Amino acid sequence: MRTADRMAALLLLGICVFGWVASRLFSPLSALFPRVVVLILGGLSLLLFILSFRRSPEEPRFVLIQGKALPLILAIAMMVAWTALISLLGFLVSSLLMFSLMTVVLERRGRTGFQIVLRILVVCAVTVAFYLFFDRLLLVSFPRGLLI
Amino acid sequence: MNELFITSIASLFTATNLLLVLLGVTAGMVVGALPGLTATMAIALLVPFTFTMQPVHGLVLMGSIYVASIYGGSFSAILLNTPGTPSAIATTFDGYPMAKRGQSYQAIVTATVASVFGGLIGVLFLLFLSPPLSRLSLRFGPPEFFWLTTFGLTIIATLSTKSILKGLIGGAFGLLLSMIGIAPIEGSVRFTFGSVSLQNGIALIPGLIGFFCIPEVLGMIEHKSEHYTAIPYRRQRRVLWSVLTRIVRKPLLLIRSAVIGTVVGIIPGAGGNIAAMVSYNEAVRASRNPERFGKGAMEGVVAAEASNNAEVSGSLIPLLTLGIPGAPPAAVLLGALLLHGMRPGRELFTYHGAVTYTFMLSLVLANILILPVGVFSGRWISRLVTRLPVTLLAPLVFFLSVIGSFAINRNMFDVFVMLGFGLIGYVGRKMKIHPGPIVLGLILGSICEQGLVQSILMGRASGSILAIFFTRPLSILLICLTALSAAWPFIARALRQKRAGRNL
Repeated sequence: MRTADRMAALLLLGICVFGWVASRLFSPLSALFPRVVVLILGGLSLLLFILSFRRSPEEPRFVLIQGKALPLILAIAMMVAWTALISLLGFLVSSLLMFSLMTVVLERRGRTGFQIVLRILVVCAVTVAFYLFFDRLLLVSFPRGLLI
Repeated sequence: MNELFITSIASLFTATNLLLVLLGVTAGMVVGALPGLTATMAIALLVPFTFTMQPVHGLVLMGSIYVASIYGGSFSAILLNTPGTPSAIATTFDGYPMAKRGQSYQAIVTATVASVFGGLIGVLFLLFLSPPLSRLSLRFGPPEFFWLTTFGLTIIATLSTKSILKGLIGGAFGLLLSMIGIAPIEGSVRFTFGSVSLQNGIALIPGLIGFFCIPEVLGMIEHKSEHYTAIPYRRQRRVLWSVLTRIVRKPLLLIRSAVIGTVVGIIPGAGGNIAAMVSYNEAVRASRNPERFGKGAMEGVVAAEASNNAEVSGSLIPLLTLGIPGAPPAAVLLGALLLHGMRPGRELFTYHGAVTYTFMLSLVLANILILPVGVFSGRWISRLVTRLPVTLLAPLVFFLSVIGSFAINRNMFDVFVMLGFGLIGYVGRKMKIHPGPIVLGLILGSICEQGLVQSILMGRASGSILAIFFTRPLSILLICLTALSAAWPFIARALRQKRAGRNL
């Protein structure tokens, strides 16, 4: 955790330096609060940086991903793709596509073809049901793209 | 006041509100029972959908979900030895051993009855403490608001995370995020990197959803290979009556646990998990047979569940009166209030009195409804807990997060903000920087800034800036509380060491 703390402290210190420099462009009263907060955050980050050199027997380990990394990385990639596709394909189509894909990819191995098809059908039914519920009943507007 | 009360009761007993309470209680139980889904996440997801509803309907639904999800956590705590929500950690201590002994139904019914009584006692405190406290908020000017937000941030940063330093860093980072956009005074455009979308600032709801929901989704995927072995849940006859009589015969345990829950709830940042642990500890200390605890003592379940459900109402007391949330779900409710144009304080109990009292009274109804819904739908909830696959649940929560982030401003930029904050929240959680203080900084930032800058302007006009900040009686009280809250972890550690030294 000490290396991670050190890196986080350095990143936060960088943000603080940027915040301080940027605040010089603001009017005096608009710059006041950012400067106070930047000073506080900078001080705390510096303290975290210094303390990260201290060894502690109870120090927790920094584990960014527990277990297999691939499913999580794939999930993040699919979330980003899902969000990006909405503007292109529309909310319903992109959700049907990505929701199904995410479920299939994350599903544990050893499923039969029939089970996968069944899961995709369930996902499609859930997506359409939610879409109709929010769109027609709650009048929540959805992102539109080239399709729906 | 009496008139308001009667109007609110009439407003509560309309078909829409009754249906919303029932819906909220059922949905809340399911959310709470599923490990990985928390009350905070459920409310954060729900806020955008309540935007098109009348404020009273939205608040009634969110309040019911809050109450029931805290109770729902007991299902997985008892049947799986995995708390469904953090508040149910102490329930596992005796609930799971009871279930292992073949008393899963007794344990669930005990948790249900204790939650109902605890929740009702908590709501009584909320109903009778909030109006007088809200009168106090009338004496608050800009300096008091500045100190109040500072107090709220320090107390949440120090209490809600294991590391005080990281809690404070989280709070300060949230404050920094709150400054993005046009400044409230003098109107400079700050930290927008030339983006027009950022000029209105970070939208609160996408921020809340991002910080509270996406890390949960990623956490679910990360731990999806973990298998839960559930203990079977079978209904038995006459258990409800026997549990009810046994609990009613222990009024002291029930009242003590509920009072502890309410008081801990009032303290900003100390959530249901702390309430339940303190209450459980006190139950052990007060018991004539402390050795029974941890081996399936019914009293242990009562202490934990009565306390965590009373904490719900406790956390709403500082929220409704001063705008300082007592727990993370209450922080999300604050976002919902602001979204509907309702600012906490005296105004909530006068101008918006009918809405506020209906909301508070709906919590009474939600707590009562927990009993029939919990007892009769327990079998289905327990099946759902063990059978709903993460591979379906995780994409579903993300799907709802996208809808929720988009719905408020109809802006795809907000969806990207939600995703970005979600990833920051995930890494932050791994670094032990929890989202609670960051979100609170984001919410309280503008109030804090306005308090600071307006106080300085007042000080300049009166001739002394220092006098404005440090001589007003309420400000002095808040400064003392801020100093005490910042120093409390060190005081507590010193006290613990002293006590340990005495015991040696």
